[in-house]
Amino acid sequence: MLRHLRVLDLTSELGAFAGRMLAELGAEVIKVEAPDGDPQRRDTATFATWNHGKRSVVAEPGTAAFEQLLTGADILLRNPGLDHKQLAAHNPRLIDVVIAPFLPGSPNDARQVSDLSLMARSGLMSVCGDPDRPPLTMPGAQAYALAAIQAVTGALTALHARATTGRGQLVEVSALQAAVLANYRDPLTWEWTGRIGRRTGNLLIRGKSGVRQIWPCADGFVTWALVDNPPMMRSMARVMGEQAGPLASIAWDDILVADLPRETLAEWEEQIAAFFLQHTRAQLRELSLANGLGLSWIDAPEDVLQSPQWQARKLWVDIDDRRLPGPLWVSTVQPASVRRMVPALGEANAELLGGGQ
Amino acid sequence: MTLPLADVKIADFSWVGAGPRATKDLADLGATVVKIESRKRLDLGRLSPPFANDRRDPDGSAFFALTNTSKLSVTINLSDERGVAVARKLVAWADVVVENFSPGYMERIGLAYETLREIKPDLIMASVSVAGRSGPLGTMRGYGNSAAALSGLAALSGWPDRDPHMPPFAYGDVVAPMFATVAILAALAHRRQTGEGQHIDISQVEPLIHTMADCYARQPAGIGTRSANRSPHAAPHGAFPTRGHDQYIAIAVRTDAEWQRLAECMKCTDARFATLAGRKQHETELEALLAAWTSRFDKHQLADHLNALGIAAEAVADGRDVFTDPELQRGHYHHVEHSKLGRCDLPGPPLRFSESSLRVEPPPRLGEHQEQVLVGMLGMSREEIAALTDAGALR
Repeated sequence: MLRHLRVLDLTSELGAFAGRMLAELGAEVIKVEAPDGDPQRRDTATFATWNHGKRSVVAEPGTAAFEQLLTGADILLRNPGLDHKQLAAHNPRLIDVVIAPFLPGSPNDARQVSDLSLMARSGLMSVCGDPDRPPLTMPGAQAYALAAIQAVTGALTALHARATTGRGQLVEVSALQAAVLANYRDPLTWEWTGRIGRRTGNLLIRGKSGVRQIWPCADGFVTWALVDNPPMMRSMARVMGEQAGPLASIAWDDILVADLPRETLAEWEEQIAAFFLQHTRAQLRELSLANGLGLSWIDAPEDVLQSPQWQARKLWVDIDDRRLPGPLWVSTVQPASVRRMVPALGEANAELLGGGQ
Repeated sequence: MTLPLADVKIADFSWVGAGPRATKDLADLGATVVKIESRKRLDLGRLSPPFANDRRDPDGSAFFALTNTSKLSVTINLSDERGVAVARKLVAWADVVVENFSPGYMERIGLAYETLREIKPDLIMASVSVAGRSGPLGTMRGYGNSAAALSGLAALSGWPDRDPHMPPFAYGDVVAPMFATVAILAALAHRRQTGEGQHIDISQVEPLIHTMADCYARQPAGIGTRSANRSPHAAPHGAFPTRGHDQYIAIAVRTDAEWQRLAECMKCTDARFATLAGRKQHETELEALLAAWTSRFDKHQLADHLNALGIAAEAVADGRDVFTDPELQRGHYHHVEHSKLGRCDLPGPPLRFSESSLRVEPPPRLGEHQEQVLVGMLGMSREEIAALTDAGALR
């Protein structure tokens, strides 16, 4: 889709997924590296994850080679450090995207950052985990990933504006703000109720009470919860038949499940737990698909890698004996042709900078 | 400065979280977003607490407000053919249609992409669903936590000695709409180049797999399993108790030199911890030692102190810490005056543009912009609207 765009990618770790996304959309994404390479190359799995589909050239900012690349670039993805005015003077159409831990220009600029520290400051950790153990972060590097997606939104928004104005601009992304934006419940809850969310294990808190969301079944785990969706609740009661007990006679349209006392919910959940234990993941899956129960079986990573669903949607691409996610979504427009390889350091120097580089 | 997406028009049929968060992004960046709602089938977000004055009111949900800033709202009864005809007029007006109904719904009411293309040949349509619209699960219904279950997020979350953990928020409702925003912007760029529209089919699961792609990349080595807070690349790496009830600090020690500085500070001379390999090998002991030390300090003061030593550390913030974090007064929170909620703080895009502006305006009351949209934007007459309203087609 974005075949007409040239993107320079100077990021390492924070923001690296932004260039990955743009490469997947067909843009020519050139990873611009120092002579000893992106430090992340030392971890080949992580490097492959965030950089497949990109090209690589060795060129340091300030050199003629870098300026040559800059001249033809639409988007520059980078972390703080370079002077925007100089870049813009060289290429006024450039969309200069700075992916930073904090919005640049505060005392926090000097702060040490890791994905874990941003997840902690975002509040997302404070509610993840069990009450009897420390808070948990999420798998992967979610704050960095969220910042990278926002960087693509910023870049393409500025590209849209450039179509009218003919001019590029500086776009700054705050990774902390990106993570806090994902924390849609806890700061809001404190603002409006003065309540502070705590870790509740696998109890999902909505409104005044909480509902259970992980259930053992005959051969693994499923997830389902009592929620304010009357048709879904009625379906479950119907499917449970005689085992529904009190669930069969509830007027779901007249109540707000989120505000029921925990004791009532626990009583209902006991009926449901017994029903789930008598069924396998596959059985519950069929019941849910046929009756719109909104239930999901829990897939382990190996199940996800083998799932016919993601194979049918051509999600996975195999690169260097690794199975990595490729396409971002499915569209009626033909997918872009993407280089299904991890770029070796400087592999595109001759091609993109000419001989002698 | 102008709003960068001021010329983009969006007919938004989406509800709850997975669609509305995308159209919030676009509306805050200047797009005209018309939210098509119905009194017969309220956006469940309008029914979600907390509410202003603790009273259940479809116009008073703070939860809804957060996700629907800067939009317009019209009510249209989509189970009435005359209502659907009005919806078609909105599609003809729009550049982009967004929807996240159950699979098959848009088709049943005559608003399938193939039909809408006849009205608007270069239409961009984005559909968000749990597992996507194709494949064996293409008709599946569910919620944000279905995405966590099917993506491996739940299986990879939590403690190795316990059940999978479900993060207590619908993370699939967060990441998928961010992908939808990117998809719509990319489709607009594609349309500028080629004149061609498209139908984009976004699942909630695939975006989560993408953001956890590094965990999948480690799968062949067998280390992509649940590991709580631990990291293969850093140790210690986790949350450790501090002064007060249930207070913690997150600390990530990425290099041996960082560990050396922390060890000096803790007066720890144990040589087994000198290298990452040693720290990984004795990680349980290392964590216990660190926890005993951190528990003497205030989480904020210790975070500042460790930062001064060049170590990445932050207090594990709770809802209050986040709401009062001075860093978030710099562009995250925007003051909004709302008819029911009063003066409140709502988050905006985590972006700053040098040549464009952005906005965070109050979310619409249900049907607030009936006149502005139907008369002002679609050119319908007041008589026609009154007749349709009386007939129940615009409820």
